[in-house]
Amino acid sequence: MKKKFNVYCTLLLLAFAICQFADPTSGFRDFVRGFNEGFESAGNETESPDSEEMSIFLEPNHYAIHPDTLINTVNGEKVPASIQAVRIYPSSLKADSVYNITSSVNMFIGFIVALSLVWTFITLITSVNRGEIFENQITRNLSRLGVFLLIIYLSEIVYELNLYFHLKSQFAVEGYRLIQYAGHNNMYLYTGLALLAIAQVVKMGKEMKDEQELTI
Amino acid sequence: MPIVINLDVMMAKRKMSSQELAEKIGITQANLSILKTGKAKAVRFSTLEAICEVLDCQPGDILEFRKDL
Repeated sequence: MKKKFNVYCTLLLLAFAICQFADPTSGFRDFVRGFNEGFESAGNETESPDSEEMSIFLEPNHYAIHPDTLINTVNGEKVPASIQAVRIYPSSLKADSVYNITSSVNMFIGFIVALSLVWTFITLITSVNRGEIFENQITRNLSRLGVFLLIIYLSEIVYELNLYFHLKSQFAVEGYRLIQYAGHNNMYLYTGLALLAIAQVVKMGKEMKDEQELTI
Repeated sequence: MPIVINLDVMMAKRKMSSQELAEKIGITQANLSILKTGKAKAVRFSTLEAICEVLDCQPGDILEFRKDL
């Protein structure tokens, strides 16, 4: 039973590490792009362009009116279109100290919480392997994991809001409005709340175990 | 809890030590102590039966219900 538990926990840790610290798809994409740009700039003997791009998400001010048109190349007909996102270079934006400080603090908190999360999870695994299952320590660790996940979720939302207001102050397109980038992961919220609930179940199990032990 | 264990009273009446009683009813002294101090959450019928047999008494002599507690 412990073997299965350990296998699942190891898989979970690996998945977390991959998702948090090394997104394999974006890492590979960045590598290929960097290689190509470096190759081109070496051949042309020109400076490589700013490779860091970011997306700004847009939606038309009026849903019924499409501010743009595209040409259907089959029949040459104009078709209404709406731009959903534009790509910009962050270096072209003005420096904003409030944005920089807030995003740095947010990133720092997220990093510390992610490390604490891993540490607490490892403590949880070792406790369970020692046979301490229905114990106060497990309840505390599960609750901590839940709270850490909720903090990461909130930190993502704060980052998005911060970015949204930073961009809104410097970027506007006629006929469109900026929309908040909804890239936060709701799974953090669900998992965090689920862990808090499981912690309460373990707490109840501990109370039942105590009661059983005090049955003479 | 309004249930009071009067085990020590019965033990004193029968002039029996904790060690002797624990041995005769087949529980540890630690568990007997939990029972005597009222920290136990429940008592098994088998334990109660053994206590009554050894102390030659009725369950009511050991367990008492006090409303005011």
